[in-house]
Amino acid sequence: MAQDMGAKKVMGWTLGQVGLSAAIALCLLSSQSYAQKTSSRITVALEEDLRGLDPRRDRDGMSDPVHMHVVEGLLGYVDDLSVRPMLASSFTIGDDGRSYTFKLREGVRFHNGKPLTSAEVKWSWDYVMAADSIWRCKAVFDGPIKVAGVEAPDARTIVFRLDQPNGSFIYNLARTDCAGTPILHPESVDADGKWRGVIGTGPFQLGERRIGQYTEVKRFPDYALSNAEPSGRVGKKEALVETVRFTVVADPSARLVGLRSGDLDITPLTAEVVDQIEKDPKLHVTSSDTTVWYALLFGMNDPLLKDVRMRRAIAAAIDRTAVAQGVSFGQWSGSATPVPGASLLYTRPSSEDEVASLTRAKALLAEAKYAGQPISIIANKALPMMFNQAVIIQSMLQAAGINANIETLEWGLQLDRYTKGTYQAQSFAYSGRFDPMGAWERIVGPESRKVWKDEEAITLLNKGMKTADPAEMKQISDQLYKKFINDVPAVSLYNVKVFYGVSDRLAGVKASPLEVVRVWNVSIK
Amino acid sequence: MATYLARRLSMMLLTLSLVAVTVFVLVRLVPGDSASLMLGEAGSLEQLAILRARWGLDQPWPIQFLYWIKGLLSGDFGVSTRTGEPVLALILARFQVSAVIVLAAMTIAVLVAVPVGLYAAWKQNSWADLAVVSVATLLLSIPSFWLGLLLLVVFGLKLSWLPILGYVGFGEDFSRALSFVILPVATLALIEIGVLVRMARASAIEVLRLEYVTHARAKGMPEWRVLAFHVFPNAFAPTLTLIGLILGNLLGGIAVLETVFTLPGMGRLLVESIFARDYPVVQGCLLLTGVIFVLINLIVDMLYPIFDPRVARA
Repeated sequence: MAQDMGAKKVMGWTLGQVGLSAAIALCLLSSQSYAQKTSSRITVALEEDLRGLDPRRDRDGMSDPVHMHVVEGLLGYVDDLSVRPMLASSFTIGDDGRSYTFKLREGVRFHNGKPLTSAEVKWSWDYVMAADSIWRCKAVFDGPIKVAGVEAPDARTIVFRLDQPNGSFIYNLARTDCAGTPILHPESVDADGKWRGVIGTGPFQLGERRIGQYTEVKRFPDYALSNAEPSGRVGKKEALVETVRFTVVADPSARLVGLRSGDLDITPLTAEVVDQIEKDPKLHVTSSDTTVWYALLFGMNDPLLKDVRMRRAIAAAIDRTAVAQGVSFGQWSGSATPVPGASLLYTRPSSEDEVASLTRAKALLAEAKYAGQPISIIANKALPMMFNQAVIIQSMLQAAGINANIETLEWGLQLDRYTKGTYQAQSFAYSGRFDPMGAWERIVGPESRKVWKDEEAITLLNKGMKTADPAEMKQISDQLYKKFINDVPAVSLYNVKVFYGVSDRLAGVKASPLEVVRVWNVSIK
Repeated sequence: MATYLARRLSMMLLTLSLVAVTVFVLVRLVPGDSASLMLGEAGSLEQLAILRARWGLDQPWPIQFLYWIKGLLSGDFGVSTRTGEPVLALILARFQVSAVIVLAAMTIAVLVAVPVGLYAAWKQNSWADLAVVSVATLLLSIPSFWLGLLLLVVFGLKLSWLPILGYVGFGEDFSRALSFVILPVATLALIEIGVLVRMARASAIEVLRLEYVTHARAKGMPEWRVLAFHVFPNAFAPTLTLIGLILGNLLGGIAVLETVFTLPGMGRLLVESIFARDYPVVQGCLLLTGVIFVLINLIVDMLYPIFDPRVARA
């Protein structure tokens, strides 16, 4: 009995102490309701932290939503993927097709209170195009679309001169993944040219940033509202809340719990949880087609796959719709064309191009005298859809009698093989491109990373990039598509649809093909 | 003792030198680099060359290594290729977060697990022992991310007692900071309690069978004194070694828990940096982990003689 009492004393003391501490802590904390939200702040989940906001140095996909709220360019995309003036009030193209003259909007001010003039536009251009810049669009404006010079004849006018006429110029100038060719104030950098912080003209200005945790943007009270119809990145963009916090939540399950608890107001969703969120009475889902494109790429110099009949056989064996539905839990449909449905250039492919045919695949294999040589498809698990689609494709190819294997690599290694063009086949995804010919530009070209180096395709692409006439662009795009189906440098699988889970306390949240969530014109009910 | 300490410190330097070389070489053996990952599928070869030159990746490995070591010796761990932040400041800020969680969880785990393990050993083969062993086995079998999510759903979502996402430093707002760390600390403590209870129980069972325990009982010593002064010190020594190993391991990063609870800790930093091939940060984190391991083992070795004087005599 005495033994029991002694041991119980030790146990009781320890458990009592721990229990008491926990109880005190919970009592203290439960006095606050963590479901109560800041009335003037919207919290948006980011899947990972952004690299930074200096477009010359450290932009990434996560920077785009912050850039879109803080900086603006001369032009911007609208939701139908056409381009409209943003900081420009209008623009004209010279008769030679090589000069673009932009008139700037009146009354626009930077976040430091200084007015927008053509001097800042020129400074911004020189900043992002500097020799040591890795700005995402620098290679475009120093390559296929060569900008020979930029002049500021007066405070309200800026002129871009191209060395050759190029209709794609305005679309590339507005690219979201290039921060819309941002107009920054020179005070964004210090006297030594070192980045200090982004000073733009957007409806929000940069607030607090905690690396690894969140980036906040605050309402810019002196924002010059446009009267144009709001769409995409342009038009009337009114900040209706004081603060937007872009908070890093890497785990998808934690994002869902955060959305349901009210800690998050908006979060990207994976396809498998869309139905769950739609059933939640306090939440809703907004979705949109995007230009993000998934495909199976071929190494065109591979001894086996350089035979076009082999590539056609593989294309015939793949049921795109089954692949798309398989990876998206039935949410997406397949597409035989790299041109996204949201694009101005989209033409619906014929059913013959889209439907799989094992008979046709087997006939082509027999014609190519295929004898069961292995075909290695590179995939990775860091981006799960690339791996999942590879598994589905492998089973389809095996059903057609093709000896397909999956080689799972780390994403960095796969990217390295992609850049060098050293692979037999790759399960791959391309970031969204909103410029009409961008759908083709990402695969056509002489660079080692481009999958389709065919001379005729390159000529067509260059022609399509040069013209400013949408009808001619579409005609060229259709020609490229016919050639794409014939040459099969890649098998187009599907374009991704983006889903956002949104708290019902918000009004005005709408997904768009521009992918990135917009929080201007969004209010708290 | 001084000679022993000096010998251990010189061994520590040798170990850390080996860690530095191994870490440097291993991160570079993985194909692809931070430049290609940063630029993605749209990067041109010219831009790749600019970035590689900027970060010194165009230099031969021995030159890169010498620059790194030279920087380390002057306290400069380099700059993150991912965020542009100085590596040392970045790592120390993140390490603080991990350290708070780990130290709090381990303190709780030790305070609970050691007496409970002792009690279970003392009551070996009873219902109480069976219950303790079952719960301990269950706790160490549960994946930490699952337990974390479960606690988030119950205490954050259903009861709304605790916040779900975010982190605030203790220096900024103590009560809010406490609210953010309770769930991760509880998750980690529960998992480690499972491990430590089993170890403490097994060690105590061994000690309870020894003759000096029988002798203490035979001379009429109260049972609680037998447990506290004869069984506990001898049974705790092996558990202390295990605590040292666990602590070193956890302080190196609790990436899964940090991801679930959105904590800006060192584990998450390391994982993100590995994926981005942020060599300076990966090297810095792994070197710090090496230092932590070596230091904790040194401290454990220094503490060991307190519980087992035979070690000091040896």
